[in-house]
Amino acid sequence: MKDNMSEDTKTVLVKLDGITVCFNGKNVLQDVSFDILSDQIVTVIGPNGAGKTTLLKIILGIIRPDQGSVWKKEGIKIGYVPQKLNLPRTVPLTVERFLCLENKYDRAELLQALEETGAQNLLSRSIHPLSGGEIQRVMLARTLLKQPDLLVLDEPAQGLDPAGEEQLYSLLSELNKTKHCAIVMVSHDLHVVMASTHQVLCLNRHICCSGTPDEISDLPDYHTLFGKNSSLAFYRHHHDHTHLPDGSIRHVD
Amino acid sequence: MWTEPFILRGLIAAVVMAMLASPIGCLMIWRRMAYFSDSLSHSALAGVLLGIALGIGQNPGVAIVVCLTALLLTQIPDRFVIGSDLLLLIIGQTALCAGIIGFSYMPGIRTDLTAYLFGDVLSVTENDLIFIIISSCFCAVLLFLNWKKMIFTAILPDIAQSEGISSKKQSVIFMVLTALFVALAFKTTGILLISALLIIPPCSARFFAKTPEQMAFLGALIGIVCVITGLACSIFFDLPAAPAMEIICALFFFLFRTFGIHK
Repeated sequence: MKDNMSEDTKTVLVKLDGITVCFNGKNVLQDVSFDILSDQIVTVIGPNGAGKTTLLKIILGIIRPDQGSVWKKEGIKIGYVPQKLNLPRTVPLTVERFLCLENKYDRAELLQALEETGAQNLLSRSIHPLSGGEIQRVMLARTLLKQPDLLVLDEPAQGLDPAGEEQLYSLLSELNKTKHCAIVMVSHDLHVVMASTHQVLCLNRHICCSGTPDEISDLPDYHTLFGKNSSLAFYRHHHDHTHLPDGSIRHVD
Repeated sequence: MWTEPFILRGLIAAVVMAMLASPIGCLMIWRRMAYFSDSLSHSALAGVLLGIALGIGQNPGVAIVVCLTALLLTQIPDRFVIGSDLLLLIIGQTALCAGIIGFSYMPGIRTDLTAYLFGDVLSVTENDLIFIIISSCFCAVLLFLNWKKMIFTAILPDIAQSEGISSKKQSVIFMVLTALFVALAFKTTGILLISALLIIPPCSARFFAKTPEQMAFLGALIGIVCVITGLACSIFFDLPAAPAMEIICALFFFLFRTFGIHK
């Protein structure tokens, strides 16, 4: 019951209760309920069209649920790193100006945030020619300036090579530890998640299963693939049901 | 010659319009809504008719109709089967044709359509000028108060929304700005050429600008030079003013495109 001890000191940041979302009469999310606790890292995985991004947008308040409620801790600051930064090339924008889109920060603050994400040399560059990994770092630095209680990332590892992915994940878990920032992210991979994840949510319009990835990190396959100190971990699914082609769900007795 | 009252009025109207056109045009470009001003301006003809029919004058009539059209356009759902660019085109052309047909039924009015379609900057009256100055002051205040939020929403709508900036509110402000601009500009540039002044100067400025503000500022400078030169061409070479302004804008665009820093 060691786990329960530490749970006591955590507060609930966001509480989703019975969230249902429909697009064009089709349920994208159905009766999704879960809590995001402070200091926690939650990874959401699921197949294409499972409603992962929709779930994040519900948390962020970008879309409203058709049913259910979203409760957020008062005064909570949430940083959002979207899947892709679709900036129109018609906007002349340096990294410096991009970081100050909402508030003005002084140069030292900007440099410090960029340094934390390893992008300090980009400050005066134009944002358009940057690579996917560089933009990822700049976006992360932007959210850090706000000193968020919760970071929401949509497939942050997409488009990164394995080394970049590893780097990103160790950066995230460091932020989680040193800044006590809770993290919710969507992973593009069904089987590999960040090792320091506290909770994995497997989503397919509803929550199929959830749990910690800890138990599987001892698997021999895991070590041969990623080495002992890897930031990546396997997650093994424990489904008690199967999805039939017509969209209905059959529970395994 | 330049001190003739009707030339002075035209000059002031054109310069005020050029200054305002650049920031609004920038936002339009960044929002990828270049068609938007076209549709709106095409509905201005119907506004002229309404103004005459109600006896409230052309400018208020245009302002009302264009604002209503703009607010109607904000109601287009995001995931409509026909994309919003197509819908804008359909609405714009329909509004224009309805206006032209409406005009043919108005007896006793000087139906000089060319003046409405391509502008008649030298016919700006004192009342027009007062209307132009008051509405541009209003636009300038709206722009000044919302500039940062408007840029944020224009280029990162989802993130802005997640940080508590209502994208719905920002779109309504943007639509009202554009509608007012159409109402104050249609006499100077004509219904068909409003978009040219909104879009071309900021596009030229893009080749030299490092920040959004530089683009808006440089665009305004280019716009002012273009309208003054266009007006001069109209006076000295007897060219139609608004088309001359457009051609000069386009010349600037190609010049800046050739020598620009950011391509």
